[in-house]
Amino acid sequence: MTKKFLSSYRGYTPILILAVGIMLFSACPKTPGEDFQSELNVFGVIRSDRGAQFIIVDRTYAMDDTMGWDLENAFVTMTGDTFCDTFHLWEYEREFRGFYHPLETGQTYNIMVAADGLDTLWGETTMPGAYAFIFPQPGDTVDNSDTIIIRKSPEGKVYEFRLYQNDTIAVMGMSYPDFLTDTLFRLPVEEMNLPEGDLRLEIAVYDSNFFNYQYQYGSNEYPQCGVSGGLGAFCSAYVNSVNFYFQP
Amino acid sequence: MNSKKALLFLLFITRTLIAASDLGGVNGFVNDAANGEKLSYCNISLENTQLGGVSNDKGYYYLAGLPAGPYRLVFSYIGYEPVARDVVVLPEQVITVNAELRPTTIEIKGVTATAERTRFERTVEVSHTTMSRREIKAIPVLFEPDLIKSMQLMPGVMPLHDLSNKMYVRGGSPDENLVLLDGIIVYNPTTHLFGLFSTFNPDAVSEAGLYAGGFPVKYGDRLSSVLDVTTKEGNSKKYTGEASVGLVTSKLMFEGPIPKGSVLLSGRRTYFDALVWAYAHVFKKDVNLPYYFYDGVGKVNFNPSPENRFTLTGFGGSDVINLADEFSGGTQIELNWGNQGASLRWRRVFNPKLYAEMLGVWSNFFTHFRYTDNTDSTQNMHFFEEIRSYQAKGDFSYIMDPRHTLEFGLQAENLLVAERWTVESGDYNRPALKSNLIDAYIQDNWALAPPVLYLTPGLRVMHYFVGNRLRADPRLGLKYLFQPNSSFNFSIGKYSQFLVTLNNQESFFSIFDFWRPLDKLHEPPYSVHAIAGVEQWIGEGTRFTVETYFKKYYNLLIPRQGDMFFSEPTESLDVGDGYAFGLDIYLKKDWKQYFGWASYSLGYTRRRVGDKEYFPGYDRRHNLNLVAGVVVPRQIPLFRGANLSLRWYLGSGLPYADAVGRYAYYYTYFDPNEWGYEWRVIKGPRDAFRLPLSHRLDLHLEKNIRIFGLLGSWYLDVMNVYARKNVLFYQWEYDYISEYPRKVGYSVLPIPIPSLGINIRF
Repeated sequence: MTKKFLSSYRGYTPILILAVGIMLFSACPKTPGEDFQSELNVFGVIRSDRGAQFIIVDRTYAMDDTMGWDLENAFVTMTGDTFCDTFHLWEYEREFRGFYHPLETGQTYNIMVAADGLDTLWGETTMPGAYAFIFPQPGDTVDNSDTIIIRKSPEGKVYEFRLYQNDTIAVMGMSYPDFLTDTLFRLPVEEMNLPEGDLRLEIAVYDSNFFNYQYQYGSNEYPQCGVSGGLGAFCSAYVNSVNFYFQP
Repeated sequence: MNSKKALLFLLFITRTLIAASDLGGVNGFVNDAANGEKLSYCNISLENTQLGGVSNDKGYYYLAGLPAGPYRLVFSYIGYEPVARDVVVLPEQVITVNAELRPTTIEIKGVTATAERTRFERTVEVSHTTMSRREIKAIPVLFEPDLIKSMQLMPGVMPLHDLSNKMYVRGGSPDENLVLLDGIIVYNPTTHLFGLFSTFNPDAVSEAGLYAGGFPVKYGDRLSSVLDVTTKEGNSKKYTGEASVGLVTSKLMFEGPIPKGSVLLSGRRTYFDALVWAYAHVFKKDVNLPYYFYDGVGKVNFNPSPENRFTLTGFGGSDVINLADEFSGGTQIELNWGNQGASLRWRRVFNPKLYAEMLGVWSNFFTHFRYTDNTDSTQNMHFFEEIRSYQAKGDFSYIMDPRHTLEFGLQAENLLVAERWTVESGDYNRPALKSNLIDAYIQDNWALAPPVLYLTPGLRVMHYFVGNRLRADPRLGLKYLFQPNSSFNFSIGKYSQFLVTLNNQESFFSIFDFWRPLDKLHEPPYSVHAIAGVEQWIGEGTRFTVETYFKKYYNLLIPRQGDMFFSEPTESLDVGDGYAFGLDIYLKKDWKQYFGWASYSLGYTRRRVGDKEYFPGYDRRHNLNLVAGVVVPRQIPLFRGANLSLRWYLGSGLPYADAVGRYAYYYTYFDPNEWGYEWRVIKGPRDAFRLPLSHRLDLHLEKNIRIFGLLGSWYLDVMNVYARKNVLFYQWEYDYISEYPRKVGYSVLPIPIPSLGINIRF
C-alpha cells in the first residue's frame, strides 16, 4: 500500500523537492546586517555649591569592542549666560573639569561634547528654583518631636538630604521623588535617627532630567535625559544647607 | 467514474424515484458493551448494500430514506467485535436499534474503521486532530501526564520552551484559544504548579479534539483554535477504579453504574507538603513545604428514557500557598487560585431527525491573596479577583434528508470580572466589568455529491451588548474526495473575539491570564482563516495530511512593549494587526498496540503596532515532533512486554532582542563629587536575532504488573534524555576587571529529569 501511495506521487517528486527547498531556504531566520554605531555617553550633574563642575564623558561600545575608553581628546564646553568654559581631562579617565563659575537658579546651561568619529552631543539643563527652610532656622535646637519643613522649589523634582556632623556625612543620604502636590515638604525628625550635637542639613534639589535618569529608566532602556546626539544625562541641582543642634 | 461511484449514483437516482411513502429509517445509539461509553464515528452499514452511515460524536446515528424491506445492520469499529442486527424497515416508520459493541484484542478481518477514518470519509473537518486518553498517558512527561503538553505535539501547535504549558497555535497567542471541558469554558487551563501543569486530570479525560484553525460555527469567541476536551461518561456496567501514585501527585478515579445511569469521580492532589509535614514531625525538623494543588472532576449521567439523557458535570481545582508557619509573630500569607465550573446537559432526541443538546454552564477562575497579621489587625488585607460566566446553550442537529443535516444553535453568555480589596478601613471594589453576548449559528452539512463532495456553509451571528455591536462570521468548509483514500480539504471563515487579556502573551512564564471583556472604545478583534490541504490514508491505519494556511488578524489588542507584566486598563492596550501563514504536515500510524506520529510545522507570524512590524516572541519557524510507541521485544528480559514511547523534538530558534552594544550607566555616591557606573546593554530590534535550535528526547516506559492481585503498572519517564541545554534566554555578564562582557545562555531543563509512578486498576 505504501509503495502504491509513493508511486502515485512519483511524478510530483521534483516539484515537491523544489518546494521544500524554497520553503526551507526562505525560512532561514534573518540576522541583523547593520553595524553598531557608537555614540557619546555623558553624565553631568552641575551643582550650585560646587567650586568647579565636572562632566563624565564616555561612549557606547559594541559588544565585541575591546578598545576600552579612548576619548582623551574629546572637546567639552559648557556655556551659561555669562561664561563659556572649555573643560579638560582631569586626573581620572572620563572626568572632564572646568573652572569655577557661579551658577544661578532659573538659568539655563548648555554643554557640547565632540570627539573624533562620533556625533556631537548637546546637553541642556535649567537650574531649579531655590527652596527655603521653614524649620529649622540657623541655630535652632531640634528634637525628635519636630518636623523639618521646607518650601519646595517650583521646578525641583527630587530632594536629596545629607546630614553632616563635623563635615563628614553623619547619618544618611536619601532622596525623595517630589510626588507631593503640597507646596511644603515635611520630614519627621524621628524617622531620621539623628546623633546628638551640631549638625548641618544639606538639601539638594534636582531638575527633571535627573529625576528621569534616576527613576524612569530600567535596565532594558537607555537614557537620554537633557541630551541629544548621544545618551546619558545632563542635570543640575540647587543646594543649600542649615546648621542646627539636635537634642534627642 | 469508477464502478463503485456509478453504483452509488444509480442507487441515489433509484431512491429519489421511489415514493416517499415507501421509505423508512433506523436510528439509535452505539455504546461500548464493557463500560457503556459512547462510540463516536462508529461505522454502520446495511449488509449487501451500499447504504450506511456513521454515529455522531455522541454515538447517535440515524439512517434515513431506507427503502422498506429486510436488512442486516452491521456495526463495526476497530478494536471491537462487530455486531449484526436483523431489522425490517417499514414505510414511514423509524425503527430504533441501539447497539453495544464488545472490545476485543483480536484483529477482526474486515473491521478497519477507526473513528478518524470514518471522520475522514463522512465529515468536513480541516485542521482537526484528536488525542485519546491512551495516547495522552503514553506520551513521555515531566512528572505528570498532561493534556496540554500532549497537544503541543500536534501539527501547528508550538510551546515556547521545554517547560512551557501554553499552546501557540498557528501564530496565535494562547489567549486566542477556546478551551472547553464538557462545554465549560476553562479560562486558565494551565495554572497548576505555577503554570507547569494543566488543570485537566488525564484519568478523567476520554478524548481531546483540537481545531488548529477553521473551526465550525458551533464554536466562537476566539480567534485561533478550539481545544474541546470530553471527560469519560462513567462506566454504566460495573464498578471500576484506578489509583496512581507519582512523584508529584497521587490520583484516584472511580466510576460505576447508578440506577438508569453512571457516575464518575476523579481527583488528584500533590502530597509533598504532607510528606514534609510528616518528616518534620517524626524527626523534629523545622521544615515546611507550604504549597499544594488539587483538582477533581465529577460526572453523573441519568437516562430516564432512551430519548432523554441528563449529564451533570462539575470540576474544580486550586493551587494553594500558605505561609502561615514561615513567619514569627503570627503573620500569615495565603495565596490561592483555581478554576471551577459546572454544567448540566440535557440530551434529547425529539424525533429521529432532530437531535438536541441543551446546556447550562457556570465557569469561574478566582484568585485570593490574604495577609493576616495576628498582632496588628489593622495590617490585614484580602485581595480577590474572579472571572465568572454563565452560559445557556442549545445545539441542534436536524437531518433534513440524506444529503442535508442542519446544525444550528443559540447561546447566551453573561460574563463578569470582579476585583475587591478588603483592608481594615473597608472594602474597595473596583466596578465590576460585565458583558453579555448572544450568539446564533447555523450550518448545513451538505453532501453535495456523496461520497465525493461535501460542503459545510455556515454562519455565526453575535450580538455583544457592550457598545451594542453586531457581528457576523460566515464560514465555509469543503471536502473533495478525489480518490477513495485521498481528499482535498478547504476552509475559509471569519472568527471574532470579545474577550481580551491584559498580560503579555510572550512571557516565558505566566500562571494565569488577566481576562477582560472588550470595552466600548475598541473594535472587536477578528481573524480570517483560509486553509487548504490534502488528506491521504495509506492503508487503514495511517493518516497523512498536508495543510497550508493563511490567517489575517484585525483589531488585535496587544499589551504595550515594555509592559513586562500586564497593562491596565484595557484602554491602554495597543491596537495592532498581523498575519500568520505556514504549512503543517502530519503523519500518524495507529495499529494495534503500536502508534506513532510525525508532525512538522513551518510558520511565519507577523504583528504590527503602529508603523512597527515585527515577529512576536512565539514566532517559531520550524517545529518537528516525532512520537513512537512500541512494545519492548521479548529479547530484553527485564522490560519484556513493556510499552516504550519515545518523543523527539526539534524546533528552530525564537526571536529575541540581543544586545548590540553596551554603555556605562553613571551615578553619584553619597558624596556627590564621587561617581561610579554599572554596565548596561543596548538591545537590538526585538526580533532581529534567533535563539539556537532546540531539541530534546523524552522517553516513557510502562509495564503491566500485578499488585496484591490487582492489575496495575509501573512507569518511568525521563525528560531530556541526552541533557540538551536548550537556550531560553541570554544574559550578558561582566568581568569587572577586564570589563569585557560574556554572553551566557540559560536553559530551563538542562539535565535529564526522571519521574516514576505506579498505577493500580480495580
